[in-house]
Amino acid sequence: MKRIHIDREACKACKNCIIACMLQHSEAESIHNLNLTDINNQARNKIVLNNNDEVVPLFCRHCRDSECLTACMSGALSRDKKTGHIICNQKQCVGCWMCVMSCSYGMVMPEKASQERTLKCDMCGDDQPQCVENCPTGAIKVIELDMKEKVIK
Amino acid sequence: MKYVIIGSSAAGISAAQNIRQLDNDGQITILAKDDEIYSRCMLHHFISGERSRDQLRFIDDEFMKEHNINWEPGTKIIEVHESNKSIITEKGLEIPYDKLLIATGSSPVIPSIPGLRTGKQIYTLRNLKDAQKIKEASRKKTKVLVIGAGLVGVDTAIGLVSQNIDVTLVELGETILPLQLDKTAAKIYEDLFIKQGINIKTNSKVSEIILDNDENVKAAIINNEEKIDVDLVVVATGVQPNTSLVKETDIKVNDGIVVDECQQTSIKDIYAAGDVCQSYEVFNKEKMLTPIWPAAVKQGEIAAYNMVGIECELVNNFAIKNSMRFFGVSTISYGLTEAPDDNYQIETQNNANTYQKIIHQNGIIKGAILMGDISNAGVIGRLIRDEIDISGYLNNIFDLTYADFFSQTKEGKFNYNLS
Ligand SMILES: Cc1cc2nc3c(=O)[nH]c(=O)nc-3n(C[C@H](O)[C@H](O)[C@H](O)COP(=O)(O)OP(=O)(O)OC[C@H]3O[C@@H](n4cnc5c(N)ncnc54)[C@H](O)[C@@H]3O)c2cc1C
Ligand code: SF4
Ligand code: SF4
Ligand code: SF4
Repeated sequence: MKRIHIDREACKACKNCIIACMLQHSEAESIHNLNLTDINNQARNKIVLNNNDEVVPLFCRHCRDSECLTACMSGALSRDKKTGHIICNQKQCVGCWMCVMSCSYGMVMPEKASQERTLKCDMCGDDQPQCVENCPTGAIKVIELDMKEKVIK
Repeated sequence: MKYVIIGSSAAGISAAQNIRQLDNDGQITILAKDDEIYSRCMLHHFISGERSRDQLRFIDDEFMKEHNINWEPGTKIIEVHESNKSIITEKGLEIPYDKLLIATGSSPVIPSIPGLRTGKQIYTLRNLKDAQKIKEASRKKTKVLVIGAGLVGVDTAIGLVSQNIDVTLVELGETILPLQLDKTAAKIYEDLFIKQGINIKTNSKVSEIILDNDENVKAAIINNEEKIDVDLVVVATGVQPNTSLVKETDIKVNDGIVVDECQQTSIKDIYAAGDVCQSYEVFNKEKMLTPIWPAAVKQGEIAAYNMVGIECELVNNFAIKNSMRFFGVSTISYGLTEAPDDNYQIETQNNANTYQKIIHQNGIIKGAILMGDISNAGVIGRLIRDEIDISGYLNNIFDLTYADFFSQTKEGKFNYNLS
């Protein structure tokens, strides 16, 4: 399974990853006509300052033991059988926010425009994640995890 | 190995799915009173017409086939014979098991109020059939009384009012949602509900339902004084675990079936998970009912591991939490909603569209209500669950994000560390 690994110290907060994520999920063909102020263009990743004013890039880690998936009572969230990623089927989502309540990392969020569906990272449909592709510092990288390994709690 | 699961909802389905992942060859049978598989958490969306019956499903149509599960809908189990290792259906059929999971959930309680148990148009909302009946009846009836303003009562009231039905919501407590919210947050919702046309009566007790000679609902008496005309009543005053099938066994039952950390009951090879069981709750630090969907799914999973013989314990069973979205206003709450005494500190933050409150004690968060802006709620939930000391962060308690606790392993697994 592919997962994004974060190297906090390497991040320069250029926010290229955020724009790349917005672009990937928008109608715009290129960054030149991507409307950054349109709330319909919502990124699924975050660049946040911590208590010490250090920059921290945050991405869904597609947990093995994903609390969002456990919480979803509509079947909207599922683990893709092939890729292992946690994907949200927005058509099935009822906006109950059980997932938002349950993700300890704040990586599943209400869709800003509708406020009634959940939005989360879809790993760009298993192509090369656009955020990683556009990171100039190597602060985020794709790593490969062994999917066969069972989680024994 | 013969795995038998009673109940085809959150806990039962989760258990079956996990058993199949761990044991390719075992025989899995799911029996349930339910005729089909649906998420009860969405029943109010069915009443309001937002969702069709098909859209209530939470698993793929192919789930049973894919997982090679023998699925017996419409089968009520009335007894467990622990000495024979078998269960008995309502029709008298005996079904043997090697490992049994009881995931029978809970059922609404109907309080003893005159008229409430005999009237014809009295409903509860738990099963798809209930939702269908309420939907059908509400087509003809126009004045509905909902008793109890917990989450199910409020869900029902909203589902009905959106169809232009006259709804009165009666609550014994001082405000609606008394277990989920504090008075300030509840009041915000009350004002919103009133604007949307729901009549609200708090501090109110339904003293009697008046029936005609044919036991049709005619009116309700509130607080022994006020009479209101109603023709349909929905009772939403709470639930109790469905434990009657183990009545004759030695399985230990308090409020629900008591289980250990492995979800095993007091009898070997018999497990229980979900609303029906009483498990160790980390916030209250005691064994209690944890009747929410995520807890049922998790407990089903833990039961599955142990049923196939992989020892594994339930951890982080934190179920004192609620999420809601009513008329576009979202709220998530965890733990305490009011400070029990002066030994707690309370922080609040209000603006036009949000109300946020955090209760803490010596740097440990004990409760939170996040209304309007819920985007980082999960972080607060985790801090409460793990009792993480945030003494150094009190200045920006409402701006905490995972960035403040970020730490990561080589495999990209996140941990919680103070930065
Ligand atoms: C309207 C409504 C809204 C809700 N909203 C939320 C929400 O937003 N978030 C949340 O976390 N929770 C919510 N809940 C609660 C949630 O639905 C339950 O916590 C969850 O369904 C528990 O799952 P379970 O598998 O333990 O039991 P249940 O869902 O109760 O299922 C029990 C199963 O056992 C079967 N069964 C029972 N007795 C027998 C018997 N004797 N023989 C054979 N089969 C039997 C039933 O047919 C059913 O299949 C809501 C509930 C309702 C009613
Ligand atoms: S949204 Fe949160 S809980 Fe869900 S997979 Fe991503 S990080 Fe894990
Ligand atoms: S908000 Fe949507 S995705 Fe999240 S738990 Fe509810 S139904 Fe599932
Ligand atoms: S992998 Fe794709 S969807 Fe996920 S954060 Fe990166 S750009 Fe966004």
